[in-house]
Parts: sequence; C-alpha cells; structure tokens
Amino acid sequence: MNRRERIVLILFLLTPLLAYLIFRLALVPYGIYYSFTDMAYVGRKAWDWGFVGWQNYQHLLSDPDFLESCKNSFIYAVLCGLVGQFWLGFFIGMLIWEGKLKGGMRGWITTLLTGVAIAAWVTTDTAAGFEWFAMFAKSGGMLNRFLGLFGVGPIEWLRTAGGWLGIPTALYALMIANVWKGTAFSMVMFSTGMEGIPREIYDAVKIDGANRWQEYFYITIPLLRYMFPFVLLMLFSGSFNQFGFLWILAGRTWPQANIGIYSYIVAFSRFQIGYGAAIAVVLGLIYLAFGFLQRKLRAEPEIITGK
Amino acid sequence: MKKTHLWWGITVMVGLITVLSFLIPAYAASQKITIMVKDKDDIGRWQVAVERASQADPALKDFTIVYETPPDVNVAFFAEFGANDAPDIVSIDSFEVPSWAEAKYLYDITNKVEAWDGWAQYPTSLQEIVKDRGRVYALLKQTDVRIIFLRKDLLPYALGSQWQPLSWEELLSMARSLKAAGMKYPLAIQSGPNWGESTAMQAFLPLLYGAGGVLYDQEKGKWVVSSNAYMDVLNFYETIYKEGLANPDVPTVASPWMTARGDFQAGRTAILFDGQWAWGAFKSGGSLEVPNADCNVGFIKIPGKNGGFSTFSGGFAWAIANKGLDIPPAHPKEAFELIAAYCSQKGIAEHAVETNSVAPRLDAVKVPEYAQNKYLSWCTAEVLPYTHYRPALPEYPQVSEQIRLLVKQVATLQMTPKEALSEYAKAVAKIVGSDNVIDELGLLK
Repeated sequence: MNRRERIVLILFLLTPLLAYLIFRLALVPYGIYYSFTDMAYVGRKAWDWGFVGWQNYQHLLSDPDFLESCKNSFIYAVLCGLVGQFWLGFFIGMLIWEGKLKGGMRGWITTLLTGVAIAAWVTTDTAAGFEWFAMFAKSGGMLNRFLGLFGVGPIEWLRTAGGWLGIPTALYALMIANVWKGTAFSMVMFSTGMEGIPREIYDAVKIDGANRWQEYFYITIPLLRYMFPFVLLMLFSGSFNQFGFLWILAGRTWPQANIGIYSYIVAFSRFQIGYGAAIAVVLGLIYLAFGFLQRKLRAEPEIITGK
Repeated sequence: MKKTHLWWGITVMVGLITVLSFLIPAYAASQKITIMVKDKDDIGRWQVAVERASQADPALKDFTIVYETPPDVNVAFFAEFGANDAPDIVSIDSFEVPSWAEAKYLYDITNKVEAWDGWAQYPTSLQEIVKDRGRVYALLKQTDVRIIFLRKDLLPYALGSQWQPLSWEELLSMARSLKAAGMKYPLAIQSGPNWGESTAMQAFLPLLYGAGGVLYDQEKGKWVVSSNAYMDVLNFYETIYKEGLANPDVPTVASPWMTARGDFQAGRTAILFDGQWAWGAFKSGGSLEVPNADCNVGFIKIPGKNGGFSTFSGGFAWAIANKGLDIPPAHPKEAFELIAAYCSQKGIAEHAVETNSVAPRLDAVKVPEYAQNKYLSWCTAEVLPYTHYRPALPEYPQVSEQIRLLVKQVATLQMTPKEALSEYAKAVAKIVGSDNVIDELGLLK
C-alpha cells in the first residue's frame, strides 16, 4: 500500500466517521442540555426559554404518565423478552435442530418453520405494525372475525384502559405481536448453539439410558447456559427500546405505551422539548446500563472449549 | 496518477454541488410565496384563489407560488422557522392561534383585516377565535357547529318540521312524553370521559353558555370553577338520568357514540346532541343510515336554559408566518391578498361545498352553490350567530378532562351536582392554580 492509497483509504474512513460524529454523537450533548431547560415549540417558551436545573427530572418522578410508561416498558420487556421470545425461541430452536438431525420430511417442515420465523424477524417494523393492526382491529380485524365464527367477541384488543391483572388489554396484544416478531433471534442463537454441542456427549448419555427429555434437561440446557444471560439481555433490551413497531400499532392513541413513545409524544406532539429530552436522557441511561452489562456477558462456550 | 485526478475531480464536483444547492434557494426566495398546507385538496382551491388575487393585483403574477405538504405540518414548520425559512402562509388549527402567536411564529394582521371588507362577515366569536390578546393572527377557512338531531318520524304528534324548543324545559317535556309513549331512551347526550372532548364541546359547554355561564373569564383572565350556571347544567343532566330519559350505559360504555348514534338509528332515541358532521352517518349511504333520512331526520339549535340558543365552534385557518424569530415575512402584503382571496365570499363557499363543512362567513349563504346545500347553509345562517369558542389555553385539555369526570359523576348518579362540582372546583384549582379561579358558589372554602 503506497502513501496515496493510504490517504484515499483514510478519506473513505473519515467520511462516515465525520458523519457519525456530526449527526449522532454531537447531538447527544444537545439533548442533555435541552433536558435542563424549559424549551418548548409553542407559546412564550419557544423563544423565552432558559436553564431550569433539575426541574424536568423532578417532574418525572411525580408524572403519572411517565411512571405508567416505565411500568409498561418493563412489563413488556420482561414478558416479551424473558418469557415469550426466550423460551419459544429455545423450543423452536430445538425443533429445528431435531429436524436437521432427522432429515427427510421433518427436515423440510423445519426448514419452512425457520423461514417463517426469520421472515417475521426481518419484516420491517412498519409493515409488521400494519399487519398486526389489521389483525387486532376491532371491527373487521382477522382475530375478531375468527372469534366471531364461534360467537365470541368482538374484543377491543387495543383497549388501553382496564385489562387483566392490572395490565391493559392493549399491552397483551402488543406482546403477542412482538413475540411473533422477535422470536427468530433466540431461535437462531439456540439452534446454532445446539449444533455446536459435540455428538459424543449425547452418545454417552444414551448408553447410560437417558431418554430424549433427559438429554435436553441434563445435557443441552446446561451446555447452552453460557448463552442465556447474553440472549436474555439482547431480547430484553430489544423489546425495551422498541419504537416504530409499537408506534404504528398503538403509539398515536396510547402515549404511555412505553418510555420512548412517551418521550416522543411529549416532545413532538405536546411540544415540550425540554421535558421530552429529559425523558429521552433517562431512557438513554437505562440503555447505556444494558450496554455495559452486555459487554460483561459475552457469550463464550467455556465448558466446550475447556477454558 | 490518473486515479488521483479522478478523486480530485469527484471531490470538486461534490463541493460545487453542495455550495450551489445552498445558493439556489436563497436566490429564488426573493420572488416566491410558500404556502404550507395540511390538506392536499386545498392546493386546488389555492390555485383558484391565486388566480383571483392576481386579477385584482397584477403584481402577484411575478411571484412563484410554492406549495409544501409535509406529513407533519407542525414539526416541519418549527424546523423551517428555526432555520429562518418559514413558509409565508401556513395552515393552523384555530385552537393553536394563541400559543403560536406567543411563540412569535405568526404575523399580526389586525390592521389588514380591519381594512378588508370580508372581516365583518365573520360572526364575533369567529373573529375572537383567531385572536391573541386582542390582535388578529389568522382567518378561518372552515368551521363546525353543535346541534340537536331529531327523529321527526318518532315525535308524538305531527309537528311538521318546525319544532324548535326554546328552553331546556321544553326539551325535557318532549323527552318525557316520548318516554311515556314507550320510547326506551328518548334523549342522548354526551356524558363521561369515554366521549373524550365531545362531552365538553358537544353538550356541556353549549349548555353552560346557554345558561348564562362561562368557563373562562376573558377580562379577568381567570377560570370560573363554580357558578349557578354550572349547577343548572348539572341539574339538567341529573334530571335526564334520574328520570331514565337517557341510556344509562352512555356515561360509562367504551364507545359511547356508537351506543348513542346506534340508539338514534334504531329509533330508541329521538333527540340526539351531536356535531353537525354526524349527518354524514345518518343520511342515505352513511354508516348508520336512518331510513328515509331526508324526511325523518331533523335538525334544531341547542336551546338556552330559558331562551336563546347556544353552540360551539372550532375550525382551521390560514395565517401569515414570520420568516424566523424576530424576522418579519418577506411579502406580508401579497400573502394577505392571497389569504383574503381564499377567504373571499365565493372562496369560503366553495371550500365549504367541496369539503362538506360549515362556511364561517355569514354571506356565504348568498352564493348559490352553498345555498343549494340547505343543511350547511342552515348551519351558517341560523346556528353560527350563536356560537362560542373554547379558551385556547395550555391548561384547557386538562380542564376538559375534569369536565368529563364531573358530568360522569352526575350522570351515573354517584354524586349530587353540588358534591361533584366541589370536587371539580378543587381539581381545576389544582391545575390552573388557586389564584386563577373564580369560585362564585364558594365551594373551595
């Protein structure tokens, strides 16, 4: 590589780096700064705004809508990520792996299943959002039409008041949609992990007389446990930070659906920029904490590699 | 060696294009007027208005008119204003006028409207709705009204089409006689949180103002949280629900308008408070078609408690925007000529006919196309002169939520009017500050 080529290379690298610096990183201090002001888009505060210290952050603690959005964010992330996507992903991953082992007809079905799950995963948030909106619509929605065949309903799936166990009906609907959408990640992770387990271990326990379930319980799960924290965290933060998908499904009618949506509504629909920025900063801090945890929990199969 | 030439060439080209793209709009700006519209259909009407304005003032022919139709008009406007490149004319909800004016987004057109012959054709309330602290900032292009729908075919005796109650008592006695004749829920009225803003706008506020009350005292700049008019309205609600004149599900059911309008369609209800647009559902081909609707559905004004009439209006307007903070618009004279052409007698009438909305100018009814639509021209000629508007203050949405709760407590008979009103007074005082309320009945003590 001569000097000229090196310069060109540096120029190539510099352009995206500069763009990233200017359009992403440089805006973060602005956001933090605005969160300490009472800036607004309408009214006197559009030009006569100033520094208000911790006022926005203090207001957060007594804002029932913010607390509601926090509660919904955590319930959604825990139930979607930790319960729904994790175990369903594990189960489907298991089926795929079994299918690969057996081959034949079963192999075809599992290939189809993998395709469907991955298609759901890679569908853009916008398309998937509208798809589920059509599913949940109260009149004419697919789900209610189906239930109507049995004389049930119609149910208001996206209803934000009331609900079951103190969780609004709409949140259940969103969780069903999100489990559908996000399961493929853990499925791919787990089925790959299962492939990595040496066959000899299974052969050994088979000789000891273990059945299929015991194989999973005593071999597969313990040997994959090193992946669990990492996958859980990825799923949890993925659901916690979701925006586009939820926005299309419920955001416009449900400001408290999650923290991100509430922040957007406050800033760009109620036009309280300062307060909206404060909510975004809190969300950013929570997300940063996930990032640190993620670095700590890198998935490495220490048992198999003998580390 | 040749390769580097190519790279330098590309770099210079990109640089040139960037510099040019900054220069071109600045150069073109001197001879253009930008109009930011929410409803894309308005562009066609703007083209007509521009044509008419150019006939009156040929100098306008030198201007290029540019239309902007961003998906989110508000946010796009704030961004352009921040870059000192706001559009000349912008579409605005009348409810936003004060907060936009205080943000210094809007250009004061008071002197211009006073010198314009069309201004006097707007009823006083619709002149006030586009003002902030006494100054005019916009012109309404379209409005709406609240009325009472009747099932004329179900009224107990042949009233023809002329029954118009002149007091609440007349309304109640009609409902009572319908009930006695076996109608299940003769009257339907917006009551409760699930109605959203409708509880305040379609029923409570028209009744409050019809009883001589106000929600907000403009002169003192204070919210009225209790008064005899409040008590009158709440007693009216209590009577309706105590005597079983209205469907008891309406205050609590999840989609109450479906219940109320459904009852009306099915003939279980003959008197329905609603916005003028609900006619679209009842007329033939509508989603809740009433059989032979043209004959069977009637419209009347909401009576005041002891005479007079009352209704509420909102609507969309055109405003001239400042270019940026403390930078006036480049062509205010021309921009106003264009808005005045859009809001001319003919322009307003055409807008109303094409969008099936109420024309805010009283002289629109003299335009044949609009006069042909008997229903809408009745709304303009007969209902609009009695209209009021909501105080466009940042606290209003929260106060409106309290109104919904107040009406629900009384309509579900869980509280007496006085108990509910004193809860309401406390809640509103908490929202707007106890120094900013007028408590005529002394409920806060």
